Amino acid sequence: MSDAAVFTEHLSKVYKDFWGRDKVRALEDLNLTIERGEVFGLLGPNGSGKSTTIKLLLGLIFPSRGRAEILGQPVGSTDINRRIGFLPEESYLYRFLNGEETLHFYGRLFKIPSRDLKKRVPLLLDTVGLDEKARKRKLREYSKGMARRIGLAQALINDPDLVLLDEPTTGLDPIGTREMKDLIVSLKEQGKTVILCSHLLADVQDVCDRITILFRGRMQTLGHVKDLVQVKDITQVEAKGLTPAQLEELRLFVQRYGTQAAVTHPTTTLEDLFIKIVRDQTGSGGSYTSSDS
Amino acid sequence: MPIYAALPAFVTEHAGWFVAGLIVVLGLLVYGLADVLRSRPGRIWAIGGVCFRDAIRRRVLWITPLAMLGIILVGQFQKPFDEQDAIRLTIKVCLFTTGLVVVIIALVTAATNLPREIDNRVIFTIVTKPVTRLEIVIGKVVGFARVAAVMLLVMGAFILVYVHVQSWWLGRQIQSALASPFTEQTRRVWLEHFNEYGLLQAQSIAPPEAMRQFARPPQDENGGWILGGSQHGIIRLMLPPEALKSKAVPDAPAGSVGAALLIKVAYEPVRSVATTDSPATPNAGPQVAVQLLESRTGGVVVSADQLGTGGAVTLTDPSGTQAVVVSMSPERAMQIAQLTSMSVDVQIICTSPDYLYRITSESVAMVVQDSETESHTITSPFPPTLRGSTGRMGQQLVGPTRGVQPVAVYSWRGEPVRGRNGFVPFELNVGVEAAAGEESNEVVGSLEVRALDRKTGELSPPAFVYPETRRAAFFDLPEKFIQSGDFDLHVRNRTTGHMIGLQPGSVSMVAGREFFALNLLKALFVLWLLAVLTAAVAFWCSTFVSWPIAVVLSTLIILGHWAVSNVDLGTGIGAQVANDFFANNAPVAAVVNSSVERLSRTLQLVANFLPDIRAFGITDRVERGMSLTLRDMVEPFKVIVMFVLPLLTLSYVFLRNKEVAP
Repeated sequence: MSDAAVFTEHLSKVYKDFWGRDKVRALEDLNLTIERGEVFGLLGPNGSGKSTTIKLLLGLIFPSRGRAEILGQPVGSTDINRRIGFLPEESYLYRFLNGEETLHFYGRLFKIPSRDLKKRVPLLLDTVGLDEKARKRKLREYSKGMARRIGLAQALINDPDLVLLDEPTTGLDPIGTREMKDLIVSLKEQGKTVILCSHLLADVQDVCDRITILFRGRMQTLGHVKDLVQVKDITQVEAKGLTPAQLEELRLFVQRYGTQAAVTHPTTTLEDLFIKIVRDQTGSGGSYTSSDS
Repeated sequence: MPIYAALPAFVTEHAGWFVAGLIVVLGLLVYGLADVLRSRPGRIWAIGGVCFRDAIRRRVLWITPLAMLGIILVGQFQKPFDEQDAIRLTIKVCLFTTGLVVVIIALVTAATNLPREIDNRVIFTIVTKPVTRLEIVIGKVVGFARVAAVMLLVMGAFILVYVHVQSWWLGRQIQSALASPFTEQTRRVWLEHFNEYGLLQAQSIAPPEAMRQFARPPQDENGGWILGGSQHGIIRLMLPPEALKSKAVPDAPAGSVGAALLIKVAYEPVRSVATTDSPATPNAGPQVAVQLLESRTGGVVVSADQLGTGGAVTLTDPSGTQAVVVSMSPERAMQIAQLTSMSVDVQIICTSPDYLYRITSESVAMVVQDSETESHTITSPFPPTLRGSTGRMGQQLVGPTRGVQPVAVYSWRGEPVRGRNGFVPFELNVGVEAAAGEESNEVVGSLEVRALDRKTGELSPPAFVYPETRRAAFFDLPEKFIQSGDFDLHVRNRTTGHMIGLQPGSVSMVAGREFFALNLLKALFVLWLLAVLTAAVAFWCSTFVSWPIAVVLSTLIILGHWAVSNVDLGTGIGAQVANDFFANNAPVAAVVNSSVERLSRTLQLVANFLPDIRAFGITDRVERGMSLTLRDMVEPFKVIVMFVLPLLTLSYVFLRNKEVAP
C-alpha cells in the first residue's frame, strides 16, 4: 500500500477486438506516483492514453496488466469513491434535471443528509458561478460553459480529497477558465490533490506543480513544471521605467557577453487582457456568474 | 442431455428452483456479499427516481391516451350477445391493451437504459460515486417498476371510469327491457339477474371439490350405479414398485399367471327395458371391459384388447353379481410395473346401454402371484371415480333415457355459507351438444338443479336453468340447504335429445362479492408483476448485448415457454414431420425424424428454464367477474421469485465485470 494520492505500477491497457485479439495498446507500463496535496497535469495529444489513465484510475475500465491505487486503496473500490470527485471530459449528466436537482441527486448517492444538502448545494452553485436563474433550468438548456460548471459542482459535492478533472476548461470563456484555475489553486490550498488532464498547455502550466507527458500510451517525461519549461541557457532580466537610451546601453552590454541578445518589452497574455477589459466594462472586481445560453 | 436425464426425478422436476437458488446464493451471498451489505435503500431509490424521471421525460406516458383511444375504438366493433358479455368484452380489451402497453414500455425502457447511459457516458458519473453495481441494477429495475406502476394507475383509472359509464348505460337499457312486455322470458331471466347483481361483478367463487356422474343419486360415498354406454368408473390401485415385480416372474414358465384382476360388478336391467319395452328382456347381455390407465396422465397403459379377456366380457350370472377374472402374464405385470409409478387406475367400461351397473371400491382387486404357492391381494383405499363419456365440451350428461335420468353430482365440503335474501347464487358454464359430439351455440339446454344438505338429508326444490354454450347461466338455491357448507348439487339434463358438456368447474358457488375496483386493482398488480419480470429480463439482456438484440432476446425469453407450450411437441412429432414431407425417402425420413425429435426435446428442455407467463393469465378472472384471491396470486409470485431474483443477480455479476466506458 502506498501513501501517495495515486500510485500506478506497470499499469497497461490493451483494447481487444471481438475475437480477443489486441486492437489498440492504449497505455503501456505506466509507473506514476502523485503525492497528496499536489496539482498534477496529464498531458498528451489525442490518443496518447490520458483518458485511458483516468478511466483506469476510476475503475471504469480494467487494466490488462499492472495495478493502481488511489489514496492507498486499490482502484475500483466503492468505498474509495467517497473521497473522489470526477469531472468527465464533457459534462455527462442527466439533461432532464435542473442544476439543483442534479446536485441533490449526486448528493444522495453520497448519502449526504438532506439538511446538509440544502446548505451545500447553493454554496456549490455559487462557487462554480451558476446564478439563481441558471440553477432552475434543465441541463439540456445549458450552454457548454454552464454544463462544465455544473459538472464541476457535482464533482465537488462530496468535498473530495482527490479531484480528477478531465479537460476542465473546455467550453469555458476566458473568465470561466480563470475561475476554474483559481478554483484549482484554491483546492490545492485546501490540501486536496488535483489531477488535471488537458490539451490547453497554458492552463496546465499555470496551475500544475508537476506534469507528465504521454505519447502513444507511454510516459515520455515527468517532473516539476518549472524545471521542465525552464530554458537554462537563456537569462532574462526584468526592469521597469528604463529610457530608450538606457535600453540601448543595456542591449550593448548584453551583446558583449551573449550571442543572441535581445531587449524587448514584455507582453501580457491575451487571457489577462480579456479579463481586464471585461472587468473594466462590468465594474466587477470579483466573481462572474453565468446564466448565458 | 444424458446428465440431465440421469438426475433424480425430484431434481429434474424442480430444476428451475435449483438453478435459481444456486445463482442467487453464488452471486449474492458468495461473490457479492460485500456489495449486498453495502447497499442502501436511499441510493437505490435515488437511482430508481432518476430512471423513472428519464422515462417520464421520454414521454412514455403519452402512450396511455393512445391506448385509451384504441380501447374506445375497439369497443365500437364488439358484438356482445348480452349486456354482461358487453362488459366482459370491454374489460378483456382494457386489460389486454393495458398489459400489452405496459409490458412493451417496460421491455423497451429496460433494454435501452443501460446501453444509452454507457453510450452517452452518464454512467461515468454514477459508477464513480460510492454506488455498488448491485445498487445500480436494483435501482434501475425499481425505476422501471415505478414507471409501470404509474402507467397502470393511469390506465386503471381510465378503465374504472370507462366500464362504470358503460355499466350505467347498459343498466338503463336493462331496466327499459325489463319494463317492456315484449321481452322474451328466457332473456328476462338473465336481465333480472343482471339487474339484481349488477354488471360489474367481482365474485369470490367456491368451486366444488368433486364432480361425479351416476345413473341414479348415490346412497353413500363409495360408488353407485352408472348407466351402461354413457358412463364408466375408475378405481385407483396403489402399487408399490415391488408389487408387480414378483419373485415368480423371472422364472415363470410360459403361460403362467403373474397377476390377475378380479372385477366384481353388480348389474340390473334398465327398468323400462325390463318392464315396458318389447321384447321384455334386453337385447344384449350386460358387458364389462377393463383397461389400465396411468394415474397421473390418464393415458392407457394396457388396453382392453391387450388384457387376457380380449375385450368386453358378458356377464351371465342371473343373480346380478358376477366376478370377472382378468389374467395377466408375468411379462404384462412387469410391463405395468414399469409404465406406472406407485399407482394404476383400473377403468371399468360398461358397454351395454340396457343395464345399470354398480361400481364400488370393492369392484376391483388385483391378485399378485408372489410364487407358485403364495399371492397377495391389492384393493383400492379410495372410492371410485364415476364419470360420463368424454365429449368435445367435457363429460357428457345425457338426458332421460328409458326411465333413467343420469345425474351429475357436484360436492362441496367447505365452511358454512351465508346467502343473500335467503338464497345462495350459483354460476353455471356448460356446453350444449345438440347431438352427440355436435357443438351448438344456438341450442338452449334445460337443466334441473337441486341441493342436497348432507347433514339433514333434505333435498331442495328444483331450480331450472337454461344454459347456452359458452355463456354463463345463473341460478339461486335456498340458503337453508346450502348453509352447512356440506352439500351436493344434483344436476340433471331435462332434454332427451341434447347432451350437456360438464367440466369439474362448470358449477361454482358465489361465496361472496367484493368491489369491482378492488378486483381491478388486483389485476393491475398482476400486470405490474409481469412488467417487473419483463424489465428484469430486458435489463439483464442489456448488460451483455446491444439494445436492439436485447429487445429481441427479451421477447424470446418472455414468450419462449408459452410458445413451446402452445406447440404440440410431444413424442412422435419427428415421425409426423418425416411422414408428411419425406414419406418416399426412408433414409432422409429417419434423419429428419431423429433431428426433429432432438430439436423438440431441446426446445422443451430450454423452455423449462424460461418464465411461464401463463401464470399471469389469471387476470382473465376479472373479466369473467370472479375476484382474484391470494391463492390465485401464488403462481405469478412463484414466477417472479424464480426469475427476477436470479436475473437481478446475473445482471449484477455481469455489470460488475463490465467495462462501462465505451
